[in-house]
Amino acid sequence: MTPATALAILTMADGLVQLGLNISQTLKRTDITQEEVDAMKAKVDATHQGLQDFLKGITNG
Amino acid sequence: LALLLILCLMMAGCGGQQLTERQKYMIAADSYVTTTTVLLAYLQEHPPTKAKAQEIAAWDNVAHNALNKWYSLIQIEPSKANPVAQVKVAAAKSTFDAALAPLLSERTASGNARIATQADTVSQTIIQLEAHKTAASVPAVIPPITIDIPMKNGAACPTTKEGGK
Repeated sequence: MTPATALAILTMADGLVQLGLNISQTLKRTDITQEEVDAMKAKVDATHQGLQDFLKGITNG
Repeated sequence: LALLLILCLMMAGCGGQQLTERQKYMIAADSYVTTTTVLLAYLQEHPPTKAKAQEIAAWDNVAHNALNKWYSLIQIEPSKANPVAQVKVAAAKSTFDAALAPLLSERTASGNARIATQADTVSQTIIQLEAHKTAASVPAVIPPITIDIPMKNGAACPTTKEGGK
C-alpha cells in the first residue's frame, strides 16, 4: 500500500466517522433553521464546483 | 461511495422516527459533501481516465441537481401555510399549465431548441410558484413570461401570459 493510498483510506475513514456524528446530531434535532439549511446548500455547491473543476481539468487536458 | 450516499438517503427516508424535510435534506446533503470530498481527495491521488472523469462528472451532476431540487422544495415551512396564497398560486399554475401543454407537444414534434427553452422557463416558473404555495405571502404580481408559439410556416408569434393576479 502506497502512502497516498493509506492517506486516502484514512481521509475516507475520517469522513465517515464525521458523517456518522453529523447524522446522529441531525436525527436529534427537529428545529433546524433555514440559515443552517442555506449554509449546507452553500457547502454542497462549493463541493460540487470543486469536483467539477477538477474533472474538467482532466477532460479538457 | 455512491452506495454510501444511497444508504444515507434510505436512512433519512426510512428511519424509525418521523424526520422533518429539513432533517432529510441535511442528512442527504451532508452525505453528498462527505462522499464527494473523499472522492475528490482520492481522485487527486489517482487521476481517472478522461472517460471515467466524464462518467463521474455526470453522476455528480445528477446528485447535485437532485439535492438542489430538494432544497427548493423545503424552502417554505409548512407551518406558514397561507390558504389565500395557495388559491392564487393554483390559479396562476393552471394558466401556465394551459400555456405549457402545446409548447411541450411542439417540442416533441419538432425538437425545436428555442421552444424547449421557453417551455423550460415556464416549467421553472411553475416550480417557483409551487414554492410560494405555503409562503406567508406571495408577490403581488408574478412577472409575465413571454412564450414564443411557432406558426405553421416557422415564424414565431410572441404572446405574454401573466399569472398570480
